[in-house]
Amino acid sequence: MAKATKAAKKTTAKINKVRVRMYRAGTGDCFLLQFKAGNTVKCNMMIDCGCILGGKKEFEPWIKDIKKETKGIIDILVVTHEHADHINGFKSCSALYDAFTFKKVWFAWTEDDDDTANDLRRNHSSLKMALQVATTQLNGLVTDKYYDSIFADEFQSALMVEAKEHFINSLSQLNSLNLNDLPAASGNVPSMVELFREFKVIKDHTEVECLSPGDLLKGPTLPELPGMRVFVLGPPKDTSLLDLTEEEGENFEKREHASSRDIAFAFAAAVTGNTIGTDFLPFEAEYELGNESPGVKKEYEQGNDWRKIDMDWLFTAGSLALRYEGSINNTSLALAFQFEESERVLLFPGDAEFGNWKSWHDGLEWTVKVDGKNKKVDATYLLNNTVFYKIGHHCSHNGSAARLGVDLMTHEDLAAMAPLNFNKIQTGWLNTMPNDLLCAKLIAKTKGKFFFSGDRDQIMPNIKTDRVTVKKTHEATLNDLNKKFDDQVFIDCEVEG
Amino acid sequence: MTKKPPFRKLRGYAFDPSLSLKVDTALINNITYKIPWEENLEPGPKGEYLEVIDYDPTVKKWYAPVNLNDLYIAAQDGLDPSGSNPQFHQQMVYAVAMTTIKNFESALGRPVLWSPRIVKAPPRANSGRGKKKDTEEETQDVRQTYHYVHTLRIYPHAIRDANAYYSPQKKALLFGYFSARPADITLQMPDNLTFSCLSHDIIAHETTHAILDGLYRKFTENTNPDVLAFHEAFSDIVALFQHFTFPDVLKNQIAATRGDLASQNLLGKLAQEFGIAMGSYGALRDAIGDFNPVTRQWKPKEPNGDEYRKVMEPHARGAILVSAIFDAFLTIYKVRVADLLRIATNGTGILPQGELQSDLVNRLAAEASKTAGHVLRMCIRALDFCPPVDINFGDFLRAIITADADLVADDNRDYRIAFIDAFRRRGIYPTGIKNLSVESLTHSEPKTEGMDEQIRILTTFLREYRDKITYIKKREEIFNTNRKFIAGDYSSADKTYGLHRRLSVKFGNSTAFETLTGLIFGNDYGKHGVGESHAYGVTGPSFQVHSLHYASRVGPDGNQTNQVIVTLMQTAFVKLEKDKKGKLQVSGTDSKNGFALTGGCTLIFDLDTLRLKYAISKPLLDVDELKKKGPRQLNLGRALQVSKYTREKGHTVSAYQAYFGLTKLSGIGEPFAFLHTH
Repeated sequence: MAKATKAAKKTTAKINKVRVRMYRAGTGDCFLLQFKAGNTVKCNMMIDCGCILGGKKEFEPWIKDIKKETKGIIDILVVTHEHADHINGFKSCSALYDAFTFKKVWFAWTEDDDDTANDLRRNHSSLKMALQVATTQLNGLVTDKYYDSIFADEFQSALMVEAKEHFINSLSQLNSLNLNDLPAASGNVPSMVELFREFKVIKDHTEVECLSPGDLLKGPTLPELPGMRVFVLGPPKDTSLLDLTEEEGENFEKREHASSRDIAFAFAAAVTGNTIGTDFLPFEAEYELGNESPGVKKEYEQGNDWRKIDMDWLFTAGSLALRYEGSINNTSLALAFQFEESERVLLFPGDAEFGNWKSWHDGLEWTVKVDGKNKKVDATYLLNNTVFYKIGHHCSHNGSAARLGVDLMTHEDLAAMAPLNFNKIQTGWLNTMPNDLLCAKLIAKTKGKFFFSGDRDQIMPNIKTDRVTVKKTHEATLNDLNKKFDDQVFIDCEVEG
Repeated sequence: MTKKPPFRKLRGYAFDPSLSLKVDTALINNITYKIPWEENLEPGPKGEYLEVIDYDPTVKKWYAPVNLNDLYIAAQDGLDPSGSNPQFHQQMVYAVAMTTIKNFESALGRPVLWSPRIVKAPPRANSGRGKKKDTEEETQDVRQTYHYVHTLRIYPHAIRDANAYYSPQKKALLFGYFSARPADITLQMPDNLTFSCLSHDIIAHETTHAILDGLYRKFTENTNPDVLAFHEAFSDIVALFQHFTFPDVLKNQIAATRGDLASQNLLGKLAQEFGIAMGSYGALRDAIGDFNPVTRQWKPKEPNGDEYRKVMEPHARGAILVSAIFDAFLTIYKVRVADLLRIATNGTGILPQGELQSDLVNRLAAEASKTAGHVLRMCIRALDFCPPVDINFGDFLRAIITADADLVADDNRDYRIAFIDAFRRRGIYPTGIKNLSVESLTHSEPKTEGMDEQIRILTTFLREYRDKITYIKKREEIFNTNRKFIAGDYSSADKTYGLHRRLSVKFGNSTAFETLTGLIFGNDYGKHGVGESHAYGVTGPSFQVHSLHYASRVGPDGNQTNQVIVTLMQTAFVKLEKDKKGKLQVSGTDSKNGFALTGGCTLIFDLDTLRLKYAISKPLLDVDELKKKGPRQLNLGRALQVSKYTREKGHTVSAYQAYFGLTKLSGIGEPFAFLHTH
């Protein structure tokens, strides 16, 4: 008898569905995944908690709901990458999270304490510092009304000042994504593991795992999720892929032997005043102008302020910030959760951009047992079996690969969630998010099983541009599904195993 | 007494420093630029057109300005090419920018003027005579005045970025430098400092931006996907065809390609060092081919006819125009050398194995250089036949064909067909023509019924302008004279009315003139969203005389044209609304409730016949309706196009351009800093 009960327990113990709940307030990611066997929750998993420009006001209702659902016990927390819109909830509400128990936290290998990861963080840290300094200096120009005086005589002075301020403001917003400002101890740059200790999420009993692409968690390595497998897709170990943010045709360059440094290092050296190394001065001192003050220098310094170039070089921070944002997005921990029996997959790529997506197809292979037989599987197989897709990078044009991503999502039961919300968003992103082609394609593929974090009435017009078609039946399904959650701080759906 | 030398010889790179490090190109890469001798060239160099200011704000360092009149420097044709000597950098930017300016001037037939600085005019003061003293133009409410800009500033070390740009605000070129990040360390030393101011192509490109801005200020306004792309393309075209003016480079490449310039060669490539330093396998841009990143093999680019419809990012889109022009060049070149090849091969046309005979190389090079010169001239001349706003590639094709047909009656070498064919193969068709032919692409002489008398009076006035301007050589005086003829001269006792006032008086309320220009001159301008102007004592619709030029050109048959080119511009604020039947309608409103729709027209007057020869218009009004004597209404098609483009701008630019808002406040910020950012 006892034996039979045990056997019965074992079969029901297998997870056969999951409820995915997305928290909404602004653009950013916060998910609660409740893995269930029948109606029993076997595992509470959180993925990220953040929102652009988010504060306590946004997060408290979420945390209250998560607490209600989980009793404050999170079996696994997944932290995809270090951007504020994925982790600032932990910072601003660390007091509330202090009452939680996080049993295990998953990071990407980039937060590990090994040479590659430390090297990457060091490189990132000097760019981040340069960005920080440049952004502060540019904001100083706004405060000092520098451009108001430089442009005072210009016919279109007001618009010209506005254009500069718009740029600086957009840059500041982009820079505000960089949250990890722990001071660098000698040599090594602190990782998010330290940051999450600071946030009081990781405590002594918390188990920390840094995952690498190619990892496969199942059975004994995944005791929380019986009946499931977790495939680790990204971020790539080849760090040069981290800088690859966009697709350029069908084929892509290999960057073997490439310098690992960003082209902005000379900029970083100047902006942070780092005189060590060869980056600082381009010429030998003998060529410098002595104390004599010939015509050219005098002319530059006296009058004609409108032609001066003292501050223009700081605007390089704009392209650096965008590149840097992309490479941090590419450090996203990309995971595929699979039901062992049905082989159905839930895909959570974080904010992975193209280089990360591409790396999944660069030789990643796993052996799994299907119907008692060993079977070699790869990223294409996982994408083919995807029934739930958390849309990458808030529906930007490069947050979901086309040929190597969405095109391979061919399962008829596909559903998608879009963590995009115009309530809180970088103003610059409004020009590119949502990408109409991507969203229209996904709405068609999911046949309307498409969930918005934001107000669909606000977002849909940006999807339905002249170059796409959204079927009326799909839109009706979409509206029905989303409508139920109109006044809620979350929106959810259940995925069958 | 020794005569002053006609040229100053300055050594420099034909391409950029990277080619001096390769055995097969080192010899041809070091060339001597021959630029006009400037008598009063000051250290900097600072001359008539340019002032080079070598201040590096990133490290707050000044570098000593080079004095090209220094005896030792002058005696050895300038300083040695060197990446590590900033004084050579100054010499290089000066030499290439001056070469570009001179090439432009010889094609354009008039001195290059930089775009004026537009500043706020002081509040209107009553001159005491009860009459308003009006020498400034006005648009809407704010008065503006134009300040002459004598020299373009060049800052060779202004930024630390893989970027270089022309700043319309500062009338300056800003060059950047950065540490190279090659895709493969065998291509270039990693972290090698790469200076954009040492690249011929980049300097010529940026200088052309400045020259083009001096001709058409509104071409920096991003009103359709072609405008900025045109700016980029034109700058590339000038840089490319300048390669053909270096005789040794040309002969070397003719020999290397055995006369087939459609195969991989240095002439069709732009900014090679820069491209590799940015991490690609070849040049930043290549007019005839590119590298397959997987096989790393160069392959020629085949147009598939879809590019123009699909490619929207300004540089990539500009590349379509560049490749069309280069394609036309190749077609013409092939036709021109066909007989040479037959002569050299006993009629077979099939070249024997081995190196070409040097006489043949010289003759082929001469043909290539001549053809390149013709094509570049055709492109530059075409600028006078473009509409002053909202240009697209089709307009440019029509301008090329019209300008050429105007000067060259007999197109016996089918140059025009070559251009049309190259554009057609890329799917670039002008709008508003019923079929594609040389005749339909050539703008025809407009109907001026009922206006002939006014036009005759106006042209007589323009003859006065011609008589004045022909003898003025000083650029500042040219600028002031142009302004005076546009705005009039009220300072002297016998005041003269300017072109602006004459146009308002002569053509006020003239539907015929409206049909011609597409601009609004009727009294109901307020209804159509056009502001009111009181300029020059006339109350009426606000419009702008954007430019005034005299062009005298000599054709191949010795024929001479004698034309004055006037460009007009007018802005209406309009809104789009659906009417009761659900059809979109456009109507005038104000700046708060609508968006700006700018119309413009280029009028070309023939001073010999006293007639209006061409009217090339981007209309505000629906001209088709006017021609049919239908209702006077705003041009729905243009309003729709502008509004659609502004709405969907995010899709047409790079992520950087979209995020930082290139299209917001279009033309106001630093459009080229945006475009050139990687």
